[in-house]
Amino acid sequence: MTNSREMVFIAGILALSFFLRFWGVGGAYLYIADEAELIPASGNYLASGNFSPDSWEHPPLKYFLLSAGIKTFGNNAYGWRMKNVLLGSLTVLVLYLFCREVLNDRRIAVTAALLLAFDPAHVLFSRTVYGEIPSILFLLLAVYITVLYLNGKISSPFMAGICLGLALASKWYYLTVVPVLFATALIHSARNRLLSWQRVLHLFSVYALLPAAVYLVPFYPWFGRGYSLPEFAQMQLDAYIKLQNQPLAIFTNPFFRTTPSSPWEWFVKPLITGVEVFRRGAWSIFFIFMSNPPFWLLTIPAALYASYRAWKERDWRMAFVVLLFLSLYFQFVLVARPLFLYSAVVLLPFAYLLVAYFLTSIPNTLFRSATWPYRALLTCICLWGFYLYPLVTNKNIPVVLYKPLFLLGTVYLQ
Amino acid sequence: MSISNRRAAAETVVIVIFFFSLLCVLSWHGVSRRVFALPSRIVAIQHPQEALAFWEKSKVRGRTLYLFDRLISADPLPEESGEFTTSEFSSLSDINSLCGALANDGLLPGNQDMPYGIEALNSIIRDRHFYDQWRRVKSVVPARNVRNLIRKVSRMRDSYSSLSVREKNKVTKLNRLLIESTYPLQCPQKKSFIPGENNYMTAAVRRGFVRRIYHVISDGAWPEVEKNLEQFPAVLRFDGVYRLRINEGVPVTIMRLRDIEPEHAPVLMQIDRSHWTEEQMRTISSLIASNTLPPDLVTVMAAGPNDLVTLERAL
Repeated sequence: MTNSREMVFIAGILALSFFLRFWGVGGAYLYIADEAELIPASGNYLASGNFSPDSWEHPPLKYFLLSAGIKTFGNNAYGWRMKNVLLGSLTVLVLYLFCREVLNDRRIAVTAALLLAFDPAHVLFSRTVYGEIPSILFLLLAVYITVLYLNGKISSPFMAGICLGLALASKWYYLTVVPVLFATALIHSARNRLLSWQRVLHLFSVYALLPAAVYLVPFYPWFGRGYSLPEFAQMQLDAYIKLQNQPLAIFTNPFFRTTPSSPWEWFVKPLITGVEVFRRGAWSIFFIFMSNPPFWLLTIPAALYASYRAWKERDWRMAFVVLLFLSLYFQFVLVARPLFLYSAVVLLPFAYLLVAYFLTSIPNTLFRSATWPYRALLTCICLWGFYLYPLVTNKNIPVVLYKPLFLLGTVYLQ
Repeated sequence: MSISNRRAAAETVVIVIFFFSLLCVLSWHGVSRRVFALPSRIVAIQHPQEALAFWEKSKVRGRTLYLFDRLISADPLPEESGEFTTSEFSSLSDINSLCGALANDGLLPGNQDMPYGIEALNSIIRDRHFYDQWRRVKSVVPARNVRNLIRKVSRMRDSYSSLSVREKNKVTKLNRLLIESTYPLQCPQKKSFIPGENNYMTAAVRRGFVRRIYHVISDGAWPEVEKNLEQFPAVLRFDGVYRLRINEGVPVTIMRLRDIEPEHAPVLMQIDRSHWTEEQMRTISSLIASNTLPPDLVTVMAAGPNDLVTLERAL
């Protein structure tokens, strides 16, 4: 594929991602999910540093992003949700670029990007105000810039520090990625005999001090309530303790409480939970919260396969991807509090990269020509994605087509 | 392409300077926003809401509050009716827009005798069975406070006109909250229905008067308080005091008189006299007199004839 054809292809995937996330996003003009808390809280926070009616324990960058969306598109369904539509679509593009850079393989990049573009959970949350969507874009940018730096295409990973700070200021999930990026950059310098104390300090400042500074900036309105730095440190500690001690009962939304809340389940069984909200004859509208069963279930075998190949071929790039996935995933598995499916969305770019690597490697070993199986794979991803899309985006669908899928999970029919 | 040691050092210096400058700016920004109300004053109040009004009038901000009371939340004000008033809408077209949205969903019947307007809206606000209609049309999970109201209203048996004022207020509040949550763009939000707004402590926190609370409990009530607090894993215990954070993120330290440590800046004090003995009041006065607790504003509820004089002397 030539460069110009590839550009057209990338533009096509980006347009597809945007269309899937945008179509009908303004249809629900009433608040959905956390919007009832987040939208008033964004106004309150920017005006007076007050988190109410939202929770105080999460970092506050989300209020700035939400407020920017409302300022740009107005205080309506588009204003609330367009930032996730746009940033969610961009995540697909950045995943493509990251895959190309880290593995230098177009097929893997296209497969991973297509998987993410159609992923039912990523599509669903890109149509809401959930903070996971912008945060994963920022993390992916940080990782991509780091790889550009490691590949010698840029001289400093400075921007990676800023993106990492933005990711952390959205969600705490990414703390475990900080040492991975820092250590990788350090090892890279050592292997190239470039390690000096200036380099170590530089990498430390880029991957620790700069993200910390960026993390602090959105707290400016909160400090305006009269707080000091020791009080900030205390608040962060309390937030950690509170998050660690959240029982399932604290989640007042009864729908959430019925959805799977154990991260170990995410990639080992199909997860489909939902309710039928409106029925007319044989057609219905559903509210569905689901994984992408065939592909999510391949994640663990794909991670094992990638680990094996990384070890066998001494491939630091693949090892880097596996490490990124594991550092994110294990914190979820080991944490005590309940975690719902929306948290799994932050793992998807790395999970899909591994799955894409796995799926595109098999035809290479099994078949003489790897072109037709690859095309068949892309076709399957698209067909499956188009099948799931109306279900997860509350479109009117013929129930009979989806009944077999409902048997895999818990869907309450009227 | 690799960064030179010189450029790496320069970038490091820039980041370090940025980081520490930011710490200084944030620290200065926080501390400089605290507003005190010197010289010190003591006032007697009848209801905790008067303390809120007093703090508002004194323009205090970002303060430490010492609350000498049994409960952190005082009794809320009586519930208001949820009926609409024209002043809540900026124009007549806003009223029509809400009526139109309700009519589109079949929640506001078209009626020649009652055209769109406040009366049409209030007719459904007073409908005891509005929730049943709303539920058929809208598939939204109501918030917890709304679900509680649904339970209460569903238990009522009489028609709206035969209900007590208190019950009528519950019906109108429920219907108003359902409409507010369903049509957030068209329906004005009733401030007093926002959870916590009619609680003086929550309001003081949200309006930025108070940034942290020391809740001082009398020795007599302490065992019961301790027992209650031990049930919550998120409540921390250290050196005999408890610490938690309320919804707005404000830290609350729950302690006894003996646990009070010296404060360096003036504090707000709110005392419910009915929970404190003469001797304990003397201890509080001595804390003020010794400058362990230097207050600028002291509000005393249920004050006895000598209480204000004693506290004035201590100041």
